[in-house]
Amino acid sequence: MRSTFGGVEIASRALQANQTAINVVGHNVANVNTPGFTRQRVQIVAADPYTVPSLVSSRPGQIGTGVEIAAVTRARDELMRQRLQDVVGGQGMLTEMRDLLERVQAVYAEPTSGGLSNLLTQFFSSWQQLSVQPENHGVRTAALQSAHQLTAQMSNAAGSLDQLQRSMSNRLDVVLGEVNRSAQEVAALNGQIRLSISAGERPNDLLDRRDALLRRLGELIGAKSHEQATDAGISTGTVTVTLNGFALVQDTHAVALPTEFLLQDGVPYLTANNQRIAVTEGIVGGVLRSTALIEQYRDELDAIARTLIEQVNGLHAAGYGLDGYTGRLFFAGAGAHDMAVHRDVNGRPERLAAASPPDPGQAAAPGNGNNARSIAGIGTQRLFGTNSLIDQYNANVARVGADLQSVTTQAENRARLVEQLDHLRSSVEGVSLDEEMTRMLTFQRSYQAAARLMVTLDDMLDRLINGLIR
Amino acid sequence: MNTTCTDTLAIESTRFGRIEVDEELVVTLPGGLIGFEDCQRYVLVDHNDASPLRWLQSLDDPSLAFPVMDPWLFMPDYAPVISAGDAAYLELTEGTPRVVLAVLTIPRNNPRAMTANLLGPIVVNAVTRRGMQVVLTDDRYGTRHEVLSTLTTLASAVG
Amino acid sequence: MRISTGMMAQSAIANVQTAFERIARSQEQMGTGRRINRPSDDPVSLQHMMTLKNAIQRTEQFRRNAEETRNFLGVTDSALDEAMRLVRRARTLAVQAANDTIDASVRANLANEVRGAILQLGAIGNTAYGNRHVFAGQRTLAPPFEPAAGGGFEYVGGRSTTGDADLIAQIGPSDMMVINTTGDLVFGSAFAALHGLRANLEGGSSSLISREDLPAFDEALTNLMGVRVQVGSSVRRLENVVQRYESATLNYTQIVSRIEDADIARTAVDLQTAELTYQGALAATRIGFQQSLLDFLR
Repeated sequence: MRSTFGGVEIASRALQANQTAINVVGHNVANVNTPGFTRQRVQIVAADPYTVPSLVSSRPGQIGTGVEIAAVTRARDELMRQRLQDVVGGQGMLTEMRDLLERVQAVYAEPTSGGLSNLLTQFFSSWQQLSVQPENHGVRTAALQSAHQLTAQMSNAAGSLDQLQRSMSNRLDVVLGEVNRSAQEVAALNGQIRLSISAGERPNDLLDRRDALLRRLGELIGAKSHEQATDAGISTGTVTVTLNGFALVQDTHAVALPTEFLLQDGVPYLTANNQRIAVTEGIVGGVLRSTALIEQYRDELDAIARTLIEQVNGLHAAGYGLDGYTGRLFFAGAGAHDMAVHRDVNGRPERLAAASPPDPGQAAAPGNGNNARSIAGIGTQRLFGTNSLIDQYNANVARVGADLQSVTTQAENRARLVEQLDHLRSSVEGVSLDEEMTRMLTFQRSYQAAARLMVTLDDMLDRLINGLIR
Repeated sequence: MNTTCTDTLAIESTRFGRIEVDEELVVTLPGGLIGFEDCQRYVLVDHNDASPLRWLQSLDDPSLAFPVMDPWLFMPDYAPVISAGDAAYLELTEGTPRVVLAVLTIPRNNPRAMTANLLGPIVVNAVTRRGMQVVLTDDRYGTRHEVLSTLTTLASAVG
Repeated sequence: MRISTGMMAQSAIANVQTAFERIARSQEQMGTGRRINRPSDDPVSLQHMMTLKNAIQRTEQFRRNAEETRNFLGVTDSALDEAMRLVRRARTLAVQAANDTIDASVRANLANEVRGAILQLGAIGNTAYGNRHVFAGQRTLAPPFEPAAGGGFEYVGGRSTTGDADLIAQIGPSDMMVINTTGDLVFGSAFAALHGLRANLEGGSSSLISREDLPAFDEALTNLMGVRVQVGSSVRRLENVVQRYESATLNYTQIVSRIEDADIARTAVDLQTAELTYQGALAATRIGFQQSLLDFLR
């Protein structure tokens, strides 16, 4: 036989359940802008019915006992999450490379008159001019000036590339720091979540936080994760984070990444005592790849500078200055970074060796501009295969541009893909205010109805108790 | 034109004494020669019957005569390219008969070392008898081409 | 498909951003008038353009060399013109002096005039263009004709025998040109003729004047004429080269600007379109955010 107050109990449960549901709506609405937040759902089920023991089978066997909240779950789209995790590493790398290569490109200052292409041509033109006016002090001074402009831009470009190289090693430290911190946090969350699950709870917000960290780890270094299960195949609630075979997080332990950088066969590695982890994705991968590219650009610039120094000095040392002396160098330095006008000629335009060697026993003649003409000829000599010095430089700049162009296009495509996947994920997991409002109205009405039920029951009990006795 | 009607000119030249020339044979160089822009009328006088050397005697300055020679005599493959402007000035077309003369420089102390100016030949339209000193831009030809040495080489080649 | 609020905001921001970037790019093209403002804008065209610009600059330098050479030759030619006038005047004196009938005082006057002519010719031989003595071979900085004992001059400039005769100008990738003739070759015969005339005037030998001096003057004059023809020929060559370079530079420049310059009309249209898109994106965002169920629940 049912209790007289059974109805009150049903109404009370309904009030509680709808209250909880409204709270969940509130939680969702509150987190509409929280990154990584997964909208939560109340699972409302009918409470276990009350079975009436009876000898007569024609009576109804079960009476409902109202409603209860079975669980508050996250609306997860596991497939999209997995696909996102696969692509965010690439996006991190490409975006990082694009940002860095944009700074590299700016170093070259092309196509402007301050770029090396123009300055190199101007330098050789100034020697050409000197060849027809070797006695002219102004022309000599102009040749020195154009050499100063050239060496200034050369060492400036090399210095800026070195600076970028250094700033990238700092960036690597910062990013690796974030990777290690995130890994530690994931490990800590693993512990809390396992504990929570074993206590029969659903730690939705902890899971959200861990998901956000996992995605960030993907962006940072291209790390992948998978859930740990027991031998029996039951989820333990913990995740393992791996990076090309290296276990970054296992259970509740995080392993710090090595910080040494090594490039082998075009693949960047992080290394420490016999350990070698390929890092081909993520911001770290982008930094490492850019470092390798910048090193290559830097070597190319050095090759231009070295060739220029060697060629010009070789001819210059054999020529004669207006003062009749020979054997002087024109450029100082061993590469792009320390290239300068040599102190032999710096500030001494009369010492520029415009003249070719005189006949034996003769003094060098001031009107002899033959050596200046030979030096001017270096500009068009095929010193790099079929390329002249300037052609080679132009090709180098074009390649920097092409590298950046390709990375930019890839980064844009990847960003679009990530955006699409995010949309798809968000369409399942994201909070829609309209939807939440609709639900709120529903739960609000249900709550009102339950309250109404309570009032009705109260009314009935009032009749029963007060009315019958009177 | 009828030869009987032709006037003759007489000139008392420093070098050859009195010369009488057919007015028809007078060559006019309206621009003169380089450095002698004031002397515009000339006649060609043979040095002697045996010599290829000839003189371009000025009619304006009796003391002025340039030694000249047919350049093909010592350089059979001489091929001066006259600019279109100069050709138009001389009214020269493909088939117009013309006379080309190279001005010689004869060292007083060593006449055998005479040189010919092949870069600035005198070109005369044989029909109009107007001419000019043409300046070529062809760097194959110089202003001091040795005449006798090439003549000797040519002669020995002919055998 | 469910549309979440966060997603709407995100794509609205992305749309506005894309539209804004497009505007920024068009504005840059309008501002600089150039389609290629950095290597990544069009690496292939950039390389082509840079190579062409280098070629223009090199050509421009050859043109400057040709210009400089033309000036040098101009100074040379006026000196030669002056020298020929001088020698012709002296030759007239010689014709006059060849006449036996002139008396001693006239002869002395003529000798004086010839001495003056020798000094003048020395000055002409030391003609300089700027600080370059044009008849000094490569020894350009010093006057090539130094006064010598006996009222004459000694040539001290460069010679082919000492390996410092030629001034060479490069006026093309493989186009070299000797632009000078040394003073000994230019004025040697003229000085010899003047000195001979002076000696014969001073010695009173009229017969030698017509036998020796007049042919010497003829030699000097045809020699000077030859040098002037050489100069004239060089000038003509330079003029041809300069003309060729000017048209080549013009062609190159046109190609470069075809590659480099933004099509202003098209860029303007692009800019307008981009701005419209931007306005549209902004408007759509505003409407999208404004119309929420929340508005209807009030």
